[in-house]
Amino acid sequence: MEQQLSPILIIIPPQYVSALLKLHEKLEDKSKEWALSGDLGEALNGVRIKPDCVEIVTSKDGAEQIHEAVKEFRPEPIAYRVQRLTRNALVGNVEQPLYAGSHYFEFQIDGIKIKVNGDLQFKVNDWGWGDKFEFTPVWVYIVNKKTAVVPLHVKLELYQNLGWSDKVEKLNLVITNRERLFHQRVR
Amino acid sequence: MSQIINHPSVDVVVLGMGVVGGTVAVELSKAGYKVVGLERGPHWEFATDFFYTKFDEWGIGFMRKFDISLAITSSTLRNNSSQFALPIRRNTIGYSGQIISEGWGVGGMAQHYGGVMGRYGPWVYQVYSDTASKYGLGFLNAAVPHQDIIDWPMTYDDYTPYYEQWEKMWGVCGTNEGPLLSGFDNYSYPLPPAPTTPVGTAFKNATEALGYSPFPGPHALATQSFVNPYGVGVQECIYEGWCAGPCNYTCEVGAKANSDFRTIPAALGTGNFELRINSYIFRLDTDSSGNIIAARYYDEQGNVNVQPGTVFFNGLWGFNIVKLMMNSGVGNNYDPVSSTGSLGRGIAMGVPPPVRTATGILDNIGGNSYTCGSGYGGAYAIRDLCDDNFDHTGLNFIGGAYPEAGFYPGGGPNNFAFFADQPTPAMIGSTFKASLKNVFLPTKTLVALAPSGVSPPVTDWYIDLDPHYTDQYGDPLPRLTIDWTMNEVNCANYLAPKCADILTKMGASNVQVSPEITTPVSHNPAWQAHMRGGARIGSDSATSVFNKWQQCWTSQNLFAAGEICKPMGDNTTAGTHPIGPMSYVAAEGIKNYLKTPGPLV
Amino acid sequence: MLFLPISRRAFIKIGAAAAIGVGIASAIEIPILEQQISAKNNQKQSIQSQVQQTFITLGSTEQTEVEALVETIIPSDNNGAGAKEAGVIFFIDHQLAGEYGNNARMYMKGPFVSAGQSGSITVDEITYSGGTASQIFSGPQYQYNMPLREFWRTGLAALETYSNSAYGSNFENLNSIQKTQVLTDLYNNKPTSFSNILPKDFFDELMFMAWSGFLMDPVYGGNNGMVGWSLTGFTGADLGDSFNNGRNVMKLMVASSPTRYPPHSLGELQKVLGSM
Repeated sequence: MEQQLSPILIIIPPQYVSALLKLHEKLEDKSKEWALSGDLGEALNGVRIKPDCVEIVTSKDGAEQIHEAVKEFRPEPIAYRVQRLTRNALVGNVEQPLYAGSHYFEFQIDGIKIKVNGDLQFKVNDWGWGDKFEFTPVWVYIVNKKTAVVPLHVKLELYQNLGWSDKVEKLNLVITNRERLFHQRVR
Repeated sequence: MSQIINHPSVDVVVLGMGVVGGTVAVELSKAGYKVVGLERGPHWEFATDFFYTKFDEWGIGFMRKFDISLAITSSTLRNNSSQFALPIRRNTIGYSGQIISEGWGVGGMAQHYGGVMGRYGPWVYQVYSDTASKYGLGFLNAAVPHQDIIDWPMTYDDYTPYYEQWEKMWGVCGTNEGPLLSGFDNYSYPLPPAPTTPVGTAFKNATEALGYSPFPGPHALATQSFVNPYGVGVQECIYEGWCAGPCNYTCEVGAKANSDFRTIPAALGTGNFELRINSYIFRLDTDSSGNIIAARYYDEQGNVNVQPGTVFFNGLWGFNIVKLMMNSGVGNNYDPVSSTGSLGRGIAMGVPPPVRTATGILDNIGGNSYTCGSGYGGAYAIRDLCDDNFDHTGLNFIGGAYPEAGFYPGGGPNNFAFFADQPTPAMIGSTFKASLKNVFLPTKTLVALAPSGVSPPVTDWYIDLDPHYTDQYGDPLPRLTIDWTMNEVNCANYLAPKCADILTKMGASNVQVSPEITTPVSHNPAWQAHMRGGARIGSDSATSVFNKWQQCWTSQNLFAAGEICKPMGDNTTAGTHPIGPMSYVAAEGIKNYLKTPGPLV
Repeated sequence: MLFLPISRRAFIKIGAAAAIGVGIASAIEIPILEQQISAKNNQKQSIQSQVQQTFITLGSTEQTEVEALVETIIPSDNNGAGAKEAGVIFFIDHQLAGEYGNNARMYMKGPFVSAGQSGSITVDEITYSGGTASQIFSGPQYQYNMPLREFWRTGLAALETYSNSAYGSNFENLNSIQKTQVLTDLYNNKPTSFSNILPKDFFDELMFMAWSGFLMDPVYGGNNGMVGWSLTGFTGADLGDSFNNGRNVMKLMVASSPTRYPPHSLGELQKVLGSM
């Protein structure tokens, strides 16, 4: 099935569209910025990847604002959390534990898990927290709702720093392809 | 030796993988039904066929390699029943005559359309009853002798939710269509409009100053990266503009919408949909009650394939629906002498040629001619002079026109094709050559407004099967008997001076109006690309072929959508937009039929 | 932006390493090495010019006549090169040898009946009192039972005959006023004998093919050196800003004054971007 898909297409599972539209409804008049990250964010940039959840990055205030706005979906309480990622960073060919810290909560819309990260930061081993994960987003209209998405080149830099060469290779290919297809500098 | 291949039955057989076929395919396969989509053409490979480093302007624009070859099938054309109809042996070369080949391949006609959108207004849906009640039948019959106008079976308000569904899926850009079209109070087109050209801005300011209500002309373009409700999306338009203009190229980034980039991928993703290309449908098998048992098609090897199904959706382009139904004995053929029957009846041209034109020159307005967006974006339009938005008391025509200005021209270097199909000796030599100097870098921009009116169907025009000419497989070609009326002319005569006023207000110099016309633009057999009617939907089975659910009156399990189904139109759009909601109505009708077989009306 | 303050001792240029290792995994071939692209394209370019400047079908007398005809339509003058210099004749020659000349995509079944007939005609034993519609567009006007290559052979010969009978010599030997007049005569269907084809039909083909050859991409044989585009100001296949001259399409679209950029051909574009 993947081979049949034209390289110019963006494909995400349709149930994610509905869930995102419902989320937009709740956040319509909210002031804080938020963006889609994770696998869904990459898929919205043309990467052929099937997300298993919606990952949102925002500020701490943004996370609190979203938390309040989606209360009818009964989100778990928001709390600062440090999680160890299942995949290690690879630094100098040595695997190192990798952590993500954020003001965090989860909830579901129509069975789809939504993860919200406020002021997301990464840490390798005990070498200190990196800068807050900030960027200038790219924009995708989820139907008629303008939505911020993490740009691919930002993810690429992240993967480079993490030493995840398979992901670096995949994203490099997509970026290069799309630069050719769309005749634009993406980086 | 070719053989007959019998396929297992499925729930829905979709004929044609173009604009409307894609909707039905995705809607029914998402609903869990087994769907087969048959397409006579190929499934274009984006990288091989469309990528812009291989822009084959001769092949695409003139040999029409992405359209069906006329060697396979064509149509014949005449202006009245006393004439011998000549086959269209070759496409028109340029833009003014739009006999350009039908679509071919997944995406269909929309692989090369201009992408102009725009809803029909409420008037279009009720022309007959509105005109009769407001101005009287006498007025209607005087404006359009032999008129054969019927109302659509539903109103604009009925179609509004289907319009919204279509627009959000297709990715229509714009804001709204001004205060003269309802349905935009809590809704606007899903994507923001393309940037306005300087000419468009001048038109907007001028029409506002004159008391009109301009709005950005809507068109089918992803002006931003966009994902539709099916989860299918594209990155935004890259504005290199080879998709519009006279040659109407494909869009190599999928920003100009077609089913290959909006619906078909989602249908394929359900696992319930099978796409068969290189499948030339030539016959529908029927049972004794008139229902369709199977569709027959030729495959690549010339084998006859039989595809049975519970429901059939006819999404073939234009008159091919009529050709297929007539060759299959489906429906009641129209007899123009007795004015009985409905199949083949009620055709009219969708977009009339410029009849009377107002022109003006804008100095140093800017907006280079060659750079471009697509889908005829960048323009502003007004509805104030269309439909019945002005009082027609004492006038001699119905409907109006849709002044719009500021389109991106586009189309590659072959903008010369605007006149190439009507060359004259004036185009010989140094003087003409000098007029092309820097034509793409204009310091003087000619703006033309041509308010030709709407072309209504009359009893004299129809589609039937040609008695002389056959397609590659030996089946008769469809014969079009069609012409123009004084309605277009009378409207143009009346509105041209008002268009001149707009140009003057825009600051144009040398504003001129061409002389009044006193005869129809007759004997011009062009514009077949936008023909509508021939298998109309309607409330009365005597004068229509399909009912309000797009279901065939005489074959209950046959549905259809397309320009062919339109009872009436206007000039607010080149045609595609209103067939979108029809495809959603058909999809809903098919779902209802599959739950409860029988007539839906 | 450094999201990971990786220890100074451990920072590795993972990005660069990964880029070199990029494989051709997708359906789109991406040439890896610059040298490979240039070599391939240089080879392509030289083959291309051989193709473009070589006759495949026009006979030598036809060549002389066609060259004179197209140069009359688009002369070399103070606004730049004309059709001869642009190589329009090669465009026409190649198309006559190909799809266009062989009516490859045309409907060519009979019966063959001409447009614009008034009065009664009978075809296949059916009589039509109204004749046939007059077609004013040169595309569907063509109702001849012959490939366009033969149509041109016939038309060129008939034109030469007419030129001699009406103006006293071969077309290519007439003066420029007479040349233009001959073409105008064709448009007005003035020749009373023209080998059973309508002179205006031949005029239409001549005009269309001359201008096509002058204004389309050089890959088709004409518009040599993009002289046609130098006249019109079209930039050809320069999409976006492939040639690093600051061309921004979206800005040009709404700019208040036009900006000229140099034109580029498909061949040049493929040199820069590769083909797919």
